[in-house]
Amino acid sequence: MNIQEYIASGVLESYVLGLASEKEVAEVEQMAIKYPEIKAELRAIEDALESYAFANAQTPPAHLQSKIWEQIETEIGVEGKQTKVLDFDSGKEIDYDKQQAPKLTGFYGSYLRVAASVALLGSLLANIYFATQWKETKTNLSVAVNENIKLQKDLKSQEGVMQPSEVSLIMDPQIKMSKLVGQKGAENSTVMLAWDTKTNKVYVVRGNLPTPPAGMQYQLWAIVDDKPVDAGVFDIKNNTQELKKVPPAKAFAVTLEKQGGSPVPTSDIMVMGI
Amino acid sequence: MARRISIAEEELVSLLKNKDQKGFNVLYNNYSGALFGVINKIVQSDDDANDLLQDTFLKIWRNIDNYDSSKGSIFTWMMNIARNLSIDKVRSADFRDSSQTISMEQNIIYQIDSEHQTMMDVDSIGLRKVVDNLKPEYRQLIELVYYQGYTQAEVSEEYGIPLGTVKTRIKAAVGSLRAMLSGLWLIVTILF
Repeated sequence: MNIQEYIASGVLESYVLGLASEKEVAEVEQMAIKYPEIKAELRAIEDALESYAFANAQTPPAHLQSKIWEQIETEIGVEGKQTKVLDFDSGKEIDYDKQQAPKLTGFYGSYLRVAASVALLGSLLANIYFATQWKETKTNLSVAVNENIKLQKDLKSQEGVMQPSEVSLIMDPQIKMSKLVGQKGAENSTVMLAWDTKTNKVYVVRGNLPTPPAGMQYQLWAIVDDKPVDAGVFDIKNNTQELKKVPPAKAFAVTLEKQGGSPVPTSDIMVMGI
Repeated sequence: MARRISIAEEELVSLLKNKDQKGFNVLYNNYSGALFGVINKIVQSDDDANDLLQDTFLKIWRNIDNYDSSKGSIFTWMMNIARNLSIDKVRSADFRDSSQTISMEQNIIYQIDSEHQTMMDVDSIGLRKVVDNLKPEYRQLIELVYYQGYTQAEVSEEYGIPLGTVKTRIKAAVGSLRAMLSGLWLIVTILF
């Protein structure tokens, strides 16, 4: 029999479609064993019809897969045990195979693979972008920290510098400046005073004195009529402190007294001046 | 083309013959959509289609040892199981008596109208576009014989076409399908 004629007769299509007679079926099966061309042709017809079936595929309800498997297990019985694994989401034991996602193949699978590749590339680019941003932010932060440290240093150094209000106080014509110098035992100490001739207020502008022991404070005395008059207590800090009003004094002196001051001086004079 | 299965057919068959769940899952994931599509077209009823898909897989499971790969592909064998069970159901007395019965003509109209493909398998979209280009008369013929189990003689009688012409047209329809699919395969290969 001519193979091409046999192929052209349409009997192979009938065979695959289940339309062939018993006689034809036996004949086709014999021919397929004998001639590879016929086997290949049968396969091509099967593939075409399989594709047609896949083109018309419909997704069955999701619950059917497990339902059918349960049916198979109970009705037919399954040889061998299934590997059970613990499912992290449900906390239940599930069949190992069920946790495997179905493999995507063919046209849609290829599409998904491309989509996944694009998504991965996008993710990588985003990673690079955010890593760069993070590095930049880190740099900005360290710059800001350094600036903050510098500002704090500047602020500290500003403490020794006269503030504009202090400058205007000193420059005021009605203010009389007085420098008290260290006496015996405190030769390096100095205190700068400002006395307002109109209001009689006295200011300690700067005090360069040893840090007093705990519970002790420096006290300023105005020497009026050869007697010490309490002018108030002050702290060792580099800014101007307003003390009490005192009458015009011949001289000023500072002693170390208990916290809050004393009515009369009880220790040696640290600094003194006119 | 159409070898969309992720494992070799021989491997699947041996998995099925081992009767383990892995084999079942591979089988189900690869073929349930195509088989369900066939069943649904024949019975046109969700409940019956669900039952028939179950019956089909049970029968595949029971009879896998009888499958002879020299006589055809595993899909052709499974497809015939699904189709025969569904046709038996449609032709059975209880199905004919039920209100869900639809005449053959209505059935064909329904099938040709692709808008009714509501539960479209996503994997088949590319294929679907190709198959939609099939000439309506070829399409109808394939639907009748492939899905409805019409014999050539029945088609000849029902549509008043000579038997020889029916055979020639079936051959032409399958040939047209093959040509289109090889074209699709080319496009898919180039794109991906």
